[in-house]
Amino acid sequence: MTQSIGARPFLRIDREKCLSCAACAAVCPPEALLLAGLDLVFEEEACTGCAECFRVCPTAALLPASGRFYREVA
Amino acid sequence: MHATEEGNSMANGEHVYDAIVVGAGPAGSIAALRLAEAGHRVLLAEKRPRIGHPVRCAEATGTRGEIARFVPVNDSWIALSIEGARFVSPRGTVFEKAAPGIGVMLDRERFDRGLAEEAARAETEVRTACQAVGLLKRNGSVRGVRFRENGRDWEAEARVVIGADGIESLVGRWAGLESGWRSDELFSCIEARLRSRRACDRTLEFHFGSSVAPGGYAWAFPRGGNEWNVGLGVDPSRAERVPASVFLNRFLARFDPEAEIVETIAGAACRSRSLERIVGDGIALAGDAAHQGNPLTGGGIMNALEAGDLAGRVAAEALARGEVTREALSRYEDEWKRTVGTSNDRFLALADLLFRKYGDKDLEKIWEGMEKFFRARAGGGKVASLAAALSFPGDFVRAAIPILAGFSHRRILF
Ligand SMILES: Cc1cc2nc3c(=O)[nH]c(=O)nc-3n(C[C@H](O)[C@H](O)[C@H](O)COP(=O)(O)OP(=O)(O)OC[C@H]3O[C@@H](n4cnc5c(N)ncnc54)[C@H](O)[C@@H]3O)c2cc1C
Ligand code: SF4
Ligand code: SF4
Repeated sequence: MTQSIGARPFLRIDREKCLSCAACAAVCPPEALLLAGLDLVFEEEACTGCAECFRVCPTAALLPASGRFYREVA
Repeated sequence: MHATEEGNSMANGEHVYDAIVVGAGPAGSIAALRLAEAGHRVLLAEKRPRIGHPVRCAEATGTRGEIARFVPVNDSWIALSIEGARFVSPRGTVFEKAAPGIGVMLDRERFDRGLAEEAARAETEVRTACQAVGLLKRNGSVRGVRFRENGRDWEAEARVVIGADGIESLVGRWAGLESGWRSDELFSCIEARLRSRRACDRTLEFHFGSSVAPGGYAWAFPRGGNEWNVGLGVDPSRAERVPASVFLNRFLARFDPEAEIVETIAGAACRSRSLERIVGDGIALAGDAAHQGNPLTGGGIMNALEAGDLAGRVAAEALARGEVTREALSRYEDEWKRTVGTSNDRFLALADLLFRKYGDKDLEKIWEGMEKFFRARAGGGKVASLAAALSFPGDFVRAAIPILAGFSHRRILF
């Protein structure tokens, strides 16, 4: 799920932290994050880098590829 | 369950239904049940391998009697009955209200499976591990669903599709109903199911405050014995880039630092205004997919049952008349807006005050007023005059009176 076209992907998924809760999928405008059954799939070609998904992830399982998004999180 | 594996329709190479319901949560199963009872040929498709699992819920809901309006209640669905609620202010002031029989704690997994079994018993074809991946359309009208099952795509036709696919709904978006969410229209939630030294009572506990759950609240709901659902939801626009999990760890340290965590679950719950459109030609949305949860509490089980029931009945009638147009389905939309939709918008106004406008100090004032208010009310005082006489902020009085006075739709908490 992480082969990238040109630019690196905007985000990474920390599979240890992800609870397949679908909060990110609910807010992703271009449907780049989807739950196939219970597996979170990221279609990076569709991602526009809007960062809505980071805001709602309850576990900080979405990590920006560069920089930081979360405060107080190692 | 009825034809879950290699269904009859597939074996015959014939995939034609009267109605397809996407998502076997409470909204979808009740909608399917109503449609099947009316004699229609119904497919209920659920993408998870096991209906109801994993649970994404704190399991508090309305009374047994309220659930029984929609479906005969099985004892095994109910963990315990709720006898009251306790509200803890940011500074720790406790306001407690006895409310015997106000609702129940469900065993949500058994409940969801039980509802789907009811639908199956009424001859609904229930398929699990069957994911909707698109809609079929003809002349702008929805005419079926494309599914992915075991890595294979197949199509099924139907005269009406009900999108009951929860918070992550895509059916509405595919149908052009603008049912996506903004991040500030959701509570970002996380919960630990735990065993505590603290024995369960029958009281729902709610904690408020900017350091507990910014823009939301934390809960401790008893499941019986010493098992609890302890969790919280934050408003992502208020949590300032701190994930809900950080607040949960803090809250757990306060609730019981030695609690044994059985499972951690997460999810998003509704805190949005009612959608303008929840029906179209050949399509209706129900439950979280239609943003129908209570935006004050995020609770959505009762509303999902109510919506699934109404959508199912209206769609069944439309099918019987042979007209599943937007117009024919709009009786569902209109009825929803008139009833629960209206009360949901009142709940949202109150939520915006409590969770967005007020700071911790304002909340303390409300806690002070609460105790007095209910004491005076028990003595027979008129709601409006009482509320005005107490130290509530004026806008709180205006937002809360219709709800406190019971003018609103019948449920206060969930
Ligand atoms: C942490 C948390 C705690 C909560 N606590 C409470 C509470 O205590 N009380 C309360 O009343 N409410 C609570 N809620 C809200 C409640 O869980 C929901 O409102 C309720 O489940 C909505 O029911 P539904 O039928 O609309 O959707 P859901 O129950 O979410 O069901 C939707 C179903 O559709 C399936 N689906 C999704 N996409 C597809 C697809 N493409 N194809 C096939 N199937 C699909 C999903 O797998 C799911 O099974 C809570 C929510 C969260 C996140
Ligand atoms: S950054 Fe925006 S577009 Fe990209 S995955 Fe997240 S929500 Fe979707
Ligand atoms: S919001 Fe976070 S935990 Fe939930 S599915 Fe997305 S990445 Fe996983």
